[in-house]
Amino acid sequence: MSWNNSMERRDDNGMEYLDTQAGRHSMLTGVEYYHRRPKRYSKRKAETEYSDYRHRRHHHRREKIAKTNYDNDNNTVLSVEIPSEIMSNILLRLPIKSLVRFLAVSKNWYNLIRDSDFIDLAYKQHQGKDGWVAIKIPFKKELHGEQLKIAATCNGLLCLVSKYDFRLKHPIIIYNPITKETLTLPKLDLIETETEDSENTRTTKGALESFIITLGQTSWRKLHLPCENECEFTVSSWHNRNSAFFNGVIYWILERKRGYGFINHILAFDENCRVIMFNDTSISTSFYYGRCTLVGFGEYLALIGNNEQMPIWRLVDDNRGTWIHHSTQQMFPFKNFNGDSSTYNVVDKMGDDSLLLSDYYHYFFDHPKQHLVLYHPKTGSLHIDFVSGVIPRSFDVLSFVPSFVSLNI
Amino acid sequence: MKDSFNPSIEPPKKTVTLVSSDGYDFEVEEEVALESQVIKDGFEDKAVDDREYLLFNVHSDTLELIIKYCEKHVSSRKSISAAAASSSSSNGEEALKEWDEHFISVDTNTLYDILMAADYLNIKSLLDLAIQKVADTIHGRSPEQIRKKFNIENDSIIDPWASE
Repeated sequence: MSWNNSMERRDDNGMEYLDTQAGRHSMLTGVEYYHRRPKRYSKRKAETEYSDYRHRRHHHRREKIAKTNYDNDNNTVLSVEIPSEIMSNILLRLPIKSLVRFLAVSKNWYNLIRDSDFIDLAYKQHQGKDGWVAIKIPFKKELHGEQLKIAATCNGLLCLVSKYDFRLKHPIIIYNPITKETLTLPKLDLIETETEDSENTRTTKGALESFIITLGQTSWRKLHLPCENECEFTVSSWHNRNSAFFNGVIYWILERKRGYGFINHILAFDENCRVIMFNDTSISTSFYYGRCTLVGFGEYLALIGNNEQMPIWRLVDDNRGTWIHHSTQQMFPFKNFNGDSSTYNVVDKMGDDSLLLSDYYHYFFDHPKQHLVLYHPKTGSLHIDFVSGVIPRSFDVLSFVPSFVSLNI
Repeated sequence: MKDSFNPSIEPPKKTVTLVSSDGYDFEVEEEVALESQVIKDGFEDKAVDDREYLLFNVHSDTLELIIKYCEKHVSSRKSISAAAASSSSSNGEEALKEWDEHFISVDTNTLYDILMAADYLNIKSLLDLAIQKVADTIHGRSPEQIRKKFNIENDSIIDPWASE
């Protein structure tokens, strides 16, 4: 029985502590097992306080209880197994870092943490939590030493491509940095590949073409794009964040080839593939391609301009092929580290209601001095100390929700 | 303690008898027992004079703690709502939080018993409290410490990336 195994421990403060906690004796656990079958014992609360229960029942135990230290019991061993249902409830409260470590505890714990329901719940739990982690990505060999680029991220997965590989000579890799699982996507044979690849799409020179692949399949499937003139559009690889994963749908900013850099279309990949136009021409004249960031921000998909005012445009898809401009919010002007006014760029969202901003010139030269700040548009507050110091050169910064989601089927 | 019971003033209250696994009776006020969702669910089906619950999974030591917790929560809920009604400021909720914190600072086996009893009796706030406490205690530990603490056999499939 478990009661025999409880350990008692006395430390220097133990007695003193107990004295100041008069009345708490009754809260201490029993340390012995009753061999005799106890008589039925009736207790009226009106007669006495709880602290007297134990005393009345077992006079001899006071002394023993006083020895038990119940606050610092690192040596105590639990002798019974916690049911897995409760255990996974406990594990859900832990940060992903601890979970990664605890995979090595036992087979049972491993299975608990890698359970697909648990993964879903944990992902929801970790969403919107601020944190900061540097991830090393180990694919030098696969990409022949070429510089890597994170093309997109969603559900705790990263899509990696080599940075200047416009012709897709090298494979596309899906990577979970938490589980270190890797999946190399099948090669996509394109005639005259020209520009961009994304998580699941790419475009060719002549026309905007899009391919999709499902986990487990061995080949890409061509998607029909619902735009009248496919040649008119392009997705440029120049800009870092021109896509957003929001409510289970991947969105891409489309640029008109002869549109002077204005944007007025967004490509949406849900179960169908749609091209959505802005209903409001002021959107397209307000945002230059490459000078704005698309993020799923709280309840809305938002376009945020990277000009001095940094307007946040909340967009609503009316499901009829247009975007409705929901509301606009201006950011507060603020100073950067050099004391100049407002030269920040939106890098990504952070959680549900804050944005990650970086020094402006980072986008142009991979500038060695990149600072990150956290900005809450609702309150206008700015957290300069969010990441202290300078982000090392060649770091790509993105909002990432860690997950144990598996790539094996 | 502040919430001590004075029989000369209070009118007699309806009570429920809870019987622990080792055969002890605990007579508690109805509203205290109703903190448990399980008791609440079965409450209407029982005859008024036969409100006795056999709790096969709860030892008397644990039951005592559980009752103490429920009583505290019932009484402080009353005082909080009373304070809110008279719009006087009170730090009742914070005080209760502190009390909870103190209450749950027990050794591993007691914590385990409370956890299991709260689960069995379906007392959500207590279950939450106990789960959070366990999570806090294991948070920064190594797998080896965890195995020791929970008395788990090391049958780990060695994971190349878990050790990092």
